[in-house]
Amino acid sequence: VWARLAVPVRSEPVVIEQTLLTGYGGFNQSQLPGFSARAAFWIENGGVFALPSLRVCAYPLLDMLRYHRFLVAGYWVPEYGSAEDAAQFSVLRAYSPYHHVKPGERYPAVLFITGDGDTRVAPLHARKMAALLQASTGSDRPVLLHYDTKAGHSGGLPASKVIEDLTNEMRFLFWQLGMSPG
Amino acid sequence: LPGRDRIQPRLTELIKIDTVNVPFVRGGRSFFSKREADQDLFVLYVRKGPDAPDEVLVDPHGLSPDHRVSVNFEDVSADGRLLAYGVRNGGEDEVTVRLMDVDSRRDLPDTLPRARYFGVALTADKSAVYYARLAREGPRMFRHAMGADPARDEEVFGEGYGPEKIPHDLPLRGRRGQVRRVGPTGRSRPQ
Repeated sequence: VWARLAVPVRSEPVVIEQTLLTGYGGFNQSQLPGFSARAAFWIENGGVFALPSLRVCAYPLLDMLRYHRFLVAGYWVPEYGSAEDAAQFSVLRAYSPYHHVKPGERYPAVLFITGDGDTRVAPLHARKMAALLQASTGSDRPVLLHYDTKAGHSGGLPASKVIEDLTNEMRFLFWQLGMSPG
Repeated sequence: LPGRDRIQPRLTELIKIDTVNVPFVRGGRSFFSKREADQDLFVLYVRKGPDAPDEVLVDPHGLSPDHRVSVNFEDVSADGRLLAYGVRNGGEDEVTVRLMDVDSRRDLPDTLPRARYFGVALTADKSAVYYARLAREGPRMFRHAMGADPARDEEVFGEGYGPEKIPHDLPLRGRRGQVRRVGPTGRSRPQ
C-alpha cells in the first residue's frame, strides 16, 4: 500500500515552534498512514506532527555494540551487523547512540519509555542511557525514564493505561515546549 | 507537571471508543475482537450467522485484576468449531496458546506453553495443531496431536535454519502442514 500526501508549497518561511517528530524505518517496514490519538491531540493544541521515514521510538535500542547479547537481539545481526566483526564494529561504533554521549554537553530534555515486559528490546538500553545522560548532561533540562514493570513491545496495555501514559507523555512535552493544553 | 486536568479528558475521548477488528469467517461463522468504549481490553467474539447475536468467546477482563492479561486469536478450524487463542502477560512477545471448543466454550486440556509463536494452525479434521516457535537454535515448526504431551511434540521443519530466518504463512488449513515461505526475521524485529 502506498499513500502520498499533497503538501501545499509556501513561498514564505514557516515558523515551526512545537514539532513532534517520530518515525520508523527498519527491517523493510515503514509506518503507514492511520489514525493516531497522539497526533490528533497534538495538532489540536497547535503542535506540528511530522512523520518521516526514519526510525526512532519508545522501547529503544541504543547500545549498538552489545545489543546482540541480550534477549532475541542476536537474531537481528543480519539487519544491523555485529560488533564481533571488526569491519562491522567500526560502522556500529560510528552511530551507536550510547557511545556518543559527551560529558558536559547541554542535552535537551529527554523522556525514555520502556518496561520489564519488553522481551524483545531489552529494557536495559533505556535504563543505562537515561543514567548516562543524567550523569553527563551540562544543561538543566530533565532526563527522565518512564518505567513500567509490565509494559513491553507487544502492546497489551488496557485502554485506561494507554490514556494515563499518553497523558504523562503529553504533559512532559507541553511542559518542556511551553505549551498550554486548550 | 501541569495540565493533567485539561489533557486527560480529551485523550479519553479520543481513545475510549468502540473498536472492532476486521472479522474472519470459518465455516460460515464470523470471528472478531471488539473493545467497547467503556472496556479496557479486546474481547473475542463469534457471530454464527449474518443476523445472529454476538457471542462472547473469551473475555480477558476477569483474567487479571489490573487488566494486564490480554487475549488474541491464533486460529479457528475450517468448520468454525475449534478456537486457538493466545494469552499474553503485559507487553511480552510470548503467549500461552489455549484451545477452546466454540460451541461449549470449554477449554481443551491441550495448552501450548508460553513461547514466541510464529503461527498456529489447526488441521481441518481438528486432530492436530501445527505451530512454529523460536527455539534457541532458530525457528522450528512442530506438530501437536490432540491429547498428547506438548513437551513431546514432533519437530517437522526448521532443522538447518538459523535464528536469522523466520518461517511464516506456515501451515495451510485443510492440508498437511507445510511451509510456504521462509523469510528474514520479521516479527521479532524491534518496532
